[in-house]
Amino acid sequence: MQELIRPRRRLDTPPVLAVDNLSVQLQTRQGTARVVEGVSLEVWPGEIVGVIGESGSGKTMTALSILRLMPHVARIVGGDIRLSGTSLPSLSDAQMRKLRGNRMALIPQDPLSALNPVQPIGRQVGEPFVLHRRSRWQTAWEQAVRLLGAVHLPLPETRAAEYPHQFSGGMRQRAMTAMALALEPDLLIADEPTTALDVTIQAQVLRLLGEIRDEHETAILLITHDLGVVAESCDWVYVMYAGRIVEEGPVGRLFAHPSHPYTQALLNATPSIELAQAELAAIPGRIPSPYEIGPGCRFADRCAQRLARCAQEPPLLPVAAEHLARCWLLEEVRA
Amino acid sequence: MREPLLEIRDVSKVFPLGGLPWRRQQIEALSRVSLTLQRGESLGIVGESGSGKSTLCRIVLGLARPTTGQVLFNGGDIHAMAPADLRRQRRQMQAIFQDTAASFNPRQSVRSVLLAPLEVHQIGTRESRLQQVVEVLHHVGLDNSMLDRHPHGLSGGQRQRVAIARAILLRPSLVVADEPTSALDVSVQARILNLLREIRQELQLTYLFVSHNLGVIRYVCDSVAVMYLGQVVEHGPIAQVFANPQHPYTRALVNAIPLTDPARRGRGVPLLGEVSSGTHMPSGCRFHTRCSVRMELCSAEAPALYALSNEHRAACFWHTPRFANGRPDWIEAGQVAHDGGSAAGLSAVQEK
Amino acid sequence: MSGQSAVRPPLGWRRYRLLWIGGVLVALVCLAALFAPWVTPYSPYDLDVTDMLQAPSATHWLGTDEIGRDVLSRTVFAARISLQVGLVAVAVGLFGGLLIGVVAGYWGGILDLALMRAMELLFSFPAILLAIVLMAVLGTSILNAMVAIGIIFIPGFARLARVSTQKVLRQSYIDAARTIGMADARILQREILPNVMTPLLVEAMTAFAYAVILESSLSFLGLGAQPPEPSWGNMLSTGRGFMAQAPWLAIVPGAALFVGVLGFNLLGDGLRDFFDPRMKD
Repeated sequence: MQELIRPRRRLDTPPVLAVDNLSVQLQTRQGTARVVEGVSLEVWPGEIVGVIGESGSGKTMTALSILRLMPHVARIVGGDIRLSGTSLPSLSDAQMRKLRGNRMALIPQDPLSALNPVQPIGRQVGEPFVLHRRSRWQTAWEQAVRLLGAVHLPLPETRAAEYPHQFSGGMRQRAMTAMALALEPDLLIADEPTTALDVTIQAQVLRLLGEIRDEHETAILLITHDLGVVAESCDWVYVMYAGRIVEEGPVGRLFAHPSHPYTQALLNATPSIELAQAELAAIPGRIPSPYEIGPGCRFADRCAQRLARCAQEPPLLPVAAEHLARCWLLEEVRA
Repeated sequence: MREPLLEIRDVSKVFPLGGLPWRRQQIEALSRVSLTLQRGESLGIVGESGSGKSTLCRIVLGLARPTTGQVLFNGGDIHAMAPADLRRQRRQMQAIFQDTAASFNPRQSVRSVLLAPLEVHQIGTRESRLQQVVEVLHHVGLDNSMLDRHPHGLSGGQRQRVAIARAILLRPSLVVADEPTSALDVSVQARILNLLREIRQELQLTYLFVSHNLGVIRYVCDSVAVMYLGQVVEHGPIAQVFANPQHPYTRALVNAIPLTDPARRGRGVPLLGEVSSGTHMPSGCRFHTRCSVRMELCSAEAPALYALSNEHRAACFWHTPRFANGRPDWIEAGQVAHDGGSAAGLSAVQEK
Repeated sequence: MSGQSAVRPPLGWRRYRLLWIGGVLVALVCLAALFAPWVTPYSPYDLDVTDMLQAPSATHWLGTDEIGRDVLSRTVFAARISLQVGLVAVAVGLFGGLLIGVVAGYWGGILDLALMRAMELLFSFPAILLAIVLMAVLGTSILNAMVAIGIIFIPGFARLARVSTQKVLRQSYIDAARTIGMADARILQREILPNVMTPLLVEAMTAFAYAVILESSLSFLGLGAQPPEPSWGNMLSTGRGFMAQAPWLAIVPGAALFVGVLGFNLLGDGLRDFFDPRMKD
C-alpha cells in the first residue's frame, strides 16, 4: 500500500513546473473578473498533481495560462510560471509554440474536437516529430505506431491508418495521450481527461497516466472536478475555490484530514456507493462572482463555521507538515 | 399482490441505420427488457454508453415506440392507447430531463413554462393556476421572483429546480428522471438530490431514475437494474447489488468507481477493452468480450437472468448448478428460472 | 417580452454596426416611399416636351427623362412599387415556405419526402426563367409579378423552416411538452413556431432585397410595373437607350436600387448577429 502514493522528492530534484503567485484576470464588458489570484503550485518529476475545483474555481484557467492557451480576454496580471527554471510569461509567442507539444503537452477534455477529422490518427500522432524534430513523415509514422502501442491501443499498425470517427471515446483519449507523449515532454497537463468517458474506460485512462508517470518520470498536472479521480490517481492535490487555492497537501493526508471547510463540505456532498447516507450535506449559497470579490474569505458566505475574523482573508496556514489550508480555524485551534 | 404501477414487458427496440437496401444495418438498442415498479418504489438504472438506458426512458414515457413488447402503466398498455387517452395518462407520469438548458423553450418565462401543464389539462381557473404554480415553486425552494425570469438566465441548480417543479405540478405517481444531475457541480447536485428525496417522501412518488453515477443511484433508489448493451444483466436491492455484485460486469463497474479514499486505490483490475458498437453485437452473452471469468459457452449462448434470492437476479452462467465446480468465489449459486429459455432476458423470472 | 430585453445587451454601435447601417438605409427608402407625394418637387407622370433629357440642374436636381418627366420624383415614387413588391412577395414566400417546411419537418416520413422533392423541382429552375413562365401563365401585371416572385421564394423558406423545425424537435423541451400531455397543434404553435420564426425573419430581409432586384429585372424585361408607373427596373430599361446622351437616366435608378438592396441585406445580416446566441457572450 505504501507504494501507491509516492512521497515528494523535494530534495534531490527541482520541480518541473513552478507556478508562483499567479494572477489572471478577464477584461469583459462587465468589468474585471479576478478568475485566478495568487496561485502557487509545483509539480515534481514522476508525480501526478491534482487541481480540483467546481465550475468557477479557476482550475482550467490556471492550466490554460501555463500553456498560454487562455482566451484572448484573459491576461496574466501577476506572478511567474517556470518550466524547469525557464520563466514562461517573458517568452515570445513563437518560443511558447516551440515549448508546447515539445517540453509540455496537453491532454484535452474533448478528444474528438481536438483531432482533425480528415487526417488519419497516425499522421496526427506523428506530427510533433515533423514540427519539432524535422523528422520525415515516414519516420514520424513509425514513431506514431510505436506510441499508439505504448498507450495500449490494440493493433497499432492498423489503427494508425484509421480516422478519428472510427475510434471510440476511450481510444481517442489514448491517441491524444500518445500524441502528448510523442516528444517525451517534462510536463503533461491533463484537463478533465476522463470527464467524457465511461467509468470503466476512465479507470483504464487513469491507470495509463500512472504508468506514464512511473516509466518516464513525467510530471503530470491533472485538472478535475471529481474527488474520486484525485483520490484514485494523484500524489498531491490542490483544492481551488473562487480563484484561490484553499487547501493543499499529499493526497493521503488531505483526504484523511480535510481541513478547509470547503474541502470537508465537498467530501460530505459526494454521494457514496458504499454507504446508505441519511442526508447529503449540501453547501448553501453560490460561489461568488469573479467580478465582485470582497476582501474576506471567499467561502465565508457559505461556511457553517464562519468566524468574525473571516471578514479578512486568511493566508495558507499549516495544518501539518506539507499540509496547508486557507482557514482561520487552524489558528483558533492552536490558540 | 398489489398491481404494479409500471410494468415493462419484454421490450425491444431496433433502430434501422442507413446502408444499401440489401445490406441494411440495424442496432438493437434494447433487447427483451422486463422490469416491474411497485407503487412507491425507486428503481435506478445504471449503465454506460450504449446500454440503452435513455432509450428505455423514452419508451416508458411514450416518446418512442418499442419494436416489440409492452409498457403497462396502471395496467394499461400506453403504446396501444388512443393518443388522447395517452395524453390523459401522462398526467400520471412526468419526467426530469438531462440537459437542463435544452429542456426549456428559450422563448418562455418560468411562469409560462409552469402554467403550461395546468393549461393543457385544464386544471383550475386562471387565478388558481398561478396560485398553484407559486406553491410548487416554493415547494422546490424558489420564490416568486423567478416567475418572470427565463430558464436560460438561471443557474444550473435553479433550472433543475424549475424542471422538478414542472414534473410535480400535475401530481404524478411516476417520475422518470434521466441523468437529472449529471450537468451539475457536486455541491449543487447534493441539494438537488436531497430535494428529490424529500419530494418523493412527501408526494409518495415512484421513481425510474437513470444515471451513470452509481453514488447518485445509491442515494436516491431502493433497487437497481444494471444494463449492458441493451440488456438487463443484474437487478436487485441496491445495497445488495453494490456490496455483493453477482454479474462480472456489475462487479467491474463497481470496482471502477474511484472512491474518495486514497488508501483503497486500485481495488480492481480495470475492465479490458471497450463496449462493442451496436452494429457488431457479440454473440452469446454480450459481455463475454470483456469478461474476466468467461467460459467457452459464453460466446455461443446467452444466459437467462437467474434468481439468486427473492429479489436479486443476474444473467451469468456461473450461477447455474452445472458450473458449481470452478465457480469464482464471489459468485453465488442461483436457480434456473421457471421456463429457463436461453436468451430470455428478464421474462424468464417474471412472477406469474 | 420584457424578460427577454433584460437578457439582451444594449444595441451598441460597435457590436451591431451592420444592423444600424442597414436600418438607416431601409428607413430612408421606406420614408421616401411613404412620403413620396410630399417630398418630391414634381409629379412623376407630368410630361413636359420642352424639357426633354435635361441634365441635372437647379430646377430638376437629377435631370429629366426622354419625355421631360422629373427623374428624382420618378425614382422616389418607384420606391413605393419596390417596397410593395418586396412585402407581397416575401409574405407569399414566407407563409408558403413556413407551412410546407414545418409540416414536412414535424411529421417527416413520406410527406416530408414528397414535399421536399417538389420544392427541389421548383428550386432547380433559374429564378428569372420561372418568373417569366409564371407571368406567362398568370398574365402581365404588377400584382402577378409580386405573386410570381413570392412563389420563387417558397422553396428557400421551406428548406430553412424544415431544418429549423428538425433542430427544435431534437431539443428536450419538445419531449417535455409531450410529457405534460400537449397535443401536436399546441406544440407546433407554442414550442416550434416561435423558435422557427427567427431564422426565417433574417432570411426574409435577404429575400426582400432579392425581390426588389427581381422586380427590377422583370420590369426591365417589360413584365413588371407597366408604364407610366415608375419602377427602378423599367426606368433602368429606358435609361439604357440614352446612356450616351443622358447617363443620369440609368445611373439614378441604379443607385437607388443599389442603396435599397444593400440596406435590406445589411439589415438581414445585422438581425442574424442580433439573434445569434453566440454573439451574446
